[in-house]
Amino acid sequence: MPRAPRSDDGDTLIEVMIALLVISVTTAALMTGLATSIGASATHRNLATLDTVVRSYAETIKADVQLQAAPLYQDCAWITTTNVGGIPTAQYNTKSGGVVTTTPLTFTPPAGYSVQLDFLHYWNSTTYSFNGDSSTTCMSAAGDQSGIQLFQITATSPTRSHESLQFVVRVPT
Amino acid sequence: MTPRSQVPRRSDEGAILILALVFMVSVGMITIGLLSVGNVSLFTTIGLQSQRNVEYGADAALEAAIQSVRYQAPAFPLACQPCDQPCVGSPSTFPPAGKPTFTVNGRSFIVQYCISIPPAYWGRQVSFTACEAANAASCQSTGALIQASVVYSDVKAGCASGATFGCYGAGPWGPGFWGTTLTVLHWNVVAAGA
Amino acid sequence: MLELLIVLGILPLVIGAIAVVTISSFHNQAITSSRFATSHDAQITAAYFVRDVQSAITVTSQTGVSTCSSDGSSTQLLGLSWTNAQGQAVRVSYGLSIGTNPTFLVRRSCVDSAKPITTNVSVELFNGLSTPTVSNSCGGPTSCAVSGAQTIASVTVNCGDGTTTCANSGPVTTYAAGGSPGIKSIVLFVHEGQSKFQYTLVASPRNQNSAAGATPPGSTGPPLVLLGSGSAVLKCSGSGKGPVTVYGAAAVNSSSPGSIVLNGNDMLQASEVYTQSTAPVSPASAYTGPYVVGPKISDPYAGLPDPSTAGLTTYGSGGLNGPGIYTSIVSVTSTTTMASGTYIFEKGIKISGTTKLTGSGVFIFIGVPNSSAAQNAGFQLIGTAVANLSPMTTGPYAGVLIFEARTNIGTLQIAGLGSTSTYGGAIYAPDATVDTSGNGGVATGSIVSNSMSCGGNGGASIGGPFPQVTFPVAGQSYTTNGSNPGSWAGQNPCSPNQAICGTAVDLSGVVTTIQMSLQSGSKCWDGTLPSGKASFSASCPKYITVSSSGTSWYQAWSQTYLGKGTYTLTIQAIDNAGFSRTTTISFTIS
Repeated sequence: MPRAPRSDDGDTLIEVMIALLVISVTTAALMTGLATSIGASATHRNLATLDTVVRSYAETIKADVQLQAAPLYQDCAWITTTNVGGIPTAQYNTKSGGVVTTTPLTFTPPAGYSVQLDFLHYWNSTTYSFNGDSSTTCMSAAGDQSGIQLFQITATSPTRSHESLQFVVRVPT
Repeated sequence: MTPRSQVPRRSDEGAILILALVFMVSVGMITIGLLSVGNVSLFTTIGLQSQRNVEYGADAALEAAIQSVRYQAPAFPLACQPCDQPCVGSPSTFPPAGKPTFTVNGRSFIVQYCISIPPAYWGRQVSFTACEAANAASCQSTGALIQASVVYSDVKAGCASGATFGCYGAGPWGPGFWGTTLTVLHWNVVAAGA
Repeated sequence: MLELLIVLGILPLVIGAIAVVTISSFHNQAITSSRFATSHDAQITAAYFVRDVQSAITVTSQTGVSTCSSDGSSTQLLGLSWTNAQGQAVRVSYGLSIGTNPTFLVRRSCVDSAKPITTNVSVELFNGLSTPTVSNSCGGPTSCAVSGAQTIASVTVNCGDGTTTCANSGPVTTYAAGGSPGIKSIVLFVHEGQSKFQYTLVASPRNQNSAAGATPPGSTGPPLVLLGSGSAVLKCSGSGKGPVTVYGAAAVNSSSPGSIVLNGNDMLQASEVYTQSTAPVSPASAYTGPYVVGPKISDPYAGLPDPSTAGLTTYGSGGLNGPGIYTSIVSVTSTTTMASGTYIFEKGIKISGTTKLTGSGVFIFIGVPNSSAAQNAGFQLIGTAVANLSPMTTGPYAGVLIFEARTNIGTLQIAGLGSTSTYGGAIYAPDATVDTSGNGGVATGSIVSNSMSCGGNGGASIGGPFPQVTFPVAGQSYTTNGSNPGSWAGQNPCSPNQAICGTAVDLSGVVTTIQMSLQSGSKCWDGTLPSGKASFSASCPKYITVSSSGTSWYQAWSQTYLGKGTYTLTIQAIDNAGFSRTTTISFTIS
């Protein structure tokens, strides 16, 4: 006697429901993963841009203070900050014969990014270390007028992530 | 002839589940791929950041060494002669032994240098190699980060020639005139050129 | 029915959502991947570009060429070159790839003649766009590659003179020299039109000082070089107090203590003693100047060839004639003037008695040229003889006065007992001893020998300038009759015509000033060029600076300036180290 065919009643719904459940859960996870990748790409973009900004700012300062034909370098110089066209700009201050000369270290970061010069420290040729003496102390401290200055700069992205870099300038020849 | 209704039909049971699996796998592959790329990119970024910090740290150490050597009267006999590049023999080191390590960007660096003074050359030819302190043993080879050649003039300011009596070196006229000027002849970031 | 309704109600929502997910996945995959790639490009470019510019010594922004390629690439934006620490020539070119789709921004690097290595530094920049064009016409930047409306990669070279085009015609140095204004910084700007992503890289070359000016002033070869080793390479003996004065460095190739043995305080005066020994001078008080300890100095004349005998006249026994080859020892016993030219004394030369031996433009070779046999032929100046010789100023032996064969150990006794002898060039005897002992004293341009001995009260000065008078000739008499053979004008070889002229050789420096003083009676020429006779109204000496070029000098003159009488001409040469010497001759106008 032929076997009665199995009933299809309800199979579609159950299968669909289970499939939907699986897909939904998986989709949520995958969407999260996708969102993470997109977020990571944005972070990566910021970091890559920050890298170019911080390198370029360091090179610009090094050129202005040490390498160019009319370098700014002076022992015991100090840093101040001003606004130039709305952009916070570090200034390199020197003193000669009682007269202070202030020169902006001009650098234009990409839109949304900012840079700052965190500090300028002096290399002491006696203690073989960098110190954060004031300019006045530097002028009287043995070893501070060594011809070497340490700069630290920080670049900040629109998403508030930041990169810092330290580099040195030497008294020009 | 068997009625159509009695012909056993191929079952569609589970077909949608298979489709769902196919969907999951394809979208999943894409997402995993992207995450993998992102992972690699971010790790690469970390590596490049570290490399950048090391380069500028070595740059800083080299500048400090150049300035430190400039005004030092050379101690004879010179420690490293002849002075091929890289140094043959025992080079001098900056910072000198017993002094604090030179640390920039959170990394420590040393600079090995070699002084050469040819006869009737009223100055010093110095070759410098900067490397991480941890790689001091291989500083002259695989550990080198930046190599530079510098010439210091040791002629008294105002003298037209070091051959003029009293215009060079220590003697009856005084302790000498070291580093009146300096010139960087070569500055090579070692990885550049590769 | 119910099932169907449920399915029909739910499925569109679900499938719609799934479709959105699927589509956005595929869509964002492409965008996100591209974003990762362009960010990665920026980092890779930054890592290479900054290092390369820091190391560069020459820079070019000339397009249409390539600093480094063997693939015919002509799409260069920036070319850099330098020499690395191993002495290899490194050339780097930033430009576009060839034959790829899409076009990449690439970095090609060449070390010496090795095959170029190409690195793709930016692969996404021109993806999906037409092949970019490269030019120097960029409306601001120095060079640029442009594709589509806005996608560009540009380079701006900030020159030391404030311009951006100094490197457009070819390589210029990063330091200001030889027409190059120097390079302050180089800027790479990349802008991707589709995504609007852009970044700027600034880098500054570290080689910004002129290499040409690096050598400390006055650095030339040492005027005294003793090639021998062992002790007493330089030895002064006897009771004489004539010092050895070196106008520059005394280089002694000996690692033995006591390689310099002197006989009193301050007997050696030099700007530097260069040696391999840390205690070369005995007693130490004999020299109180600076020491430099270093490797042996190489023979500065090691490559100087023995003279050719072709075309030279051969003389047998007899006295001194003109330039030529003398196969027997030559004995000079009367005052003699050597004509300019090459003299080869195979068996040596001896000048004795009260002889005054003079000559200018002279090259003396002692020994048999190109012989490997041991020789012992020397140069002997004995008695109260005096030599006053100056070398050729052109040709392969310019500046070399005496060259003793490399297998010849014959001593060169160059100082007599009378007046100071002057050898205005180099005395080169790599296997022999130069003996300067004698109360007469000696002045030489340079001594390069195996060893040196000294003594007596005459002293020896080595190095510094040696002025010499070509015309008028010492002791000669001239008329002022037109251009007759015996006249000043007729015998004058100088340029301009009738000038007073000569040479000044300095093997240890550079002659910076040459002056003359012309004395008649007790007064000297006042320096004015008259229409009639020259005025001798100044106190003596009255030094007037003459014109000079290289080793030659002259003072414009005319025979009409001089009346009958005897005149004394003194020439003073001063070099860059401040050392000076004079030479004095007398002549007569009849």
